Amino acid sequence: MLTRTWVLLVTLTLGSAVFAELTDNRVLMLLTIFGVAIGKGHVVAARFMETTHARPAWRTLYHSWIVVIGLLLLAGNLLAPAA
Amino acid sequence: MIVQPSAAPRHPARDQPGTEGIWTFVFIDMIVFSLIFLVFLSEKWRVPAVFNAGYVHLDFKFGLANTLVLLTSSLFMAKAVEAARHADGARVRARLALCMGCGALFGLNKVIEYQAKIAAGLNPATDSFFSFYYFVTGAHFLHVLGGLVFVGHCFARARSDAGNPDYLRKLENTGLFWHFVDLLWLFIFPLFYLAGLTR
Repeated sequence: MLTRTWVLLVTLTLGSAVFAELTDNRVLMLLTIFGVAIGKGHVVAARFMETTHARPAWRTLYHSWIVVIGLLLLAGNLLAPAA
Repeated sequence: MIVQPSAAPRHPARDQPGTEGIWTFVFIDMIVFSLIFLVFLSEKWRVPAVFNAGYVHLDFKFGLANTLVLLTSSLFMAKAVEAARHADGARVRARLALCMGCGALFGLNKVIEYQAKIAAGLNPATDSFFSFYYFVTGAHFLHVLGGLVFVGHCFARARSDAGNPDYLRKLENTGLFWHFVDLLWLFIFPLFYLAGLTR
């Protein structure tokens, strides 16, 4: 199970990096890289940090942080003024 | 009367890994980094040209390599905790050694990257982008170094203490912190190394 989780994380990492390198669509690229980061964050928290066995309060706080920080970075980059 | 067995729980009951203290500590660290990210974004909004120029100097391959190295270190840490639950001291040591090896590789990669930047005249005083780059990645690097100290301690005690519940708790605490360091990097990587690839 742990090794499969690692394979998934590595695949997502490589996929998002290659996509970011190849695409010219800035909005799609930002949506992808931060969306993938949020997804990977949930996987790391659930499988490696074992939030699934933590108190519900910690589980909620940790997974909420992943979503909030991911969306904040996405919005901050998407809406950033052009030079 | 036939009694239907209740549905199996989605996650079998097990104690929460680690102590309340480490869950609290990591969450406070999360808040601290959230504030740092907020300040980063506000500065990016203030001087977008400086940030767009700064991204050009970062090589995403360094960030990608370090992401893969940290994810691998997290795998070995999680497997070390798994081995400790079976009181298998030899496996715990082997996996913690691999975890530390990955941590050292991350450090080496970071030092090489910093050296290249400084040699090119890009230091923390260059502009606000590089101030943030060194501050955020430097703070994260200090977390890696701190984590390595705890992993090293757990490695040294694994042979004699692997079956001890206190040791398991200590290793779970170390693991939680180590995985948090990995989690942080999952956001630092796109923020610095990928977001600037197209403008």
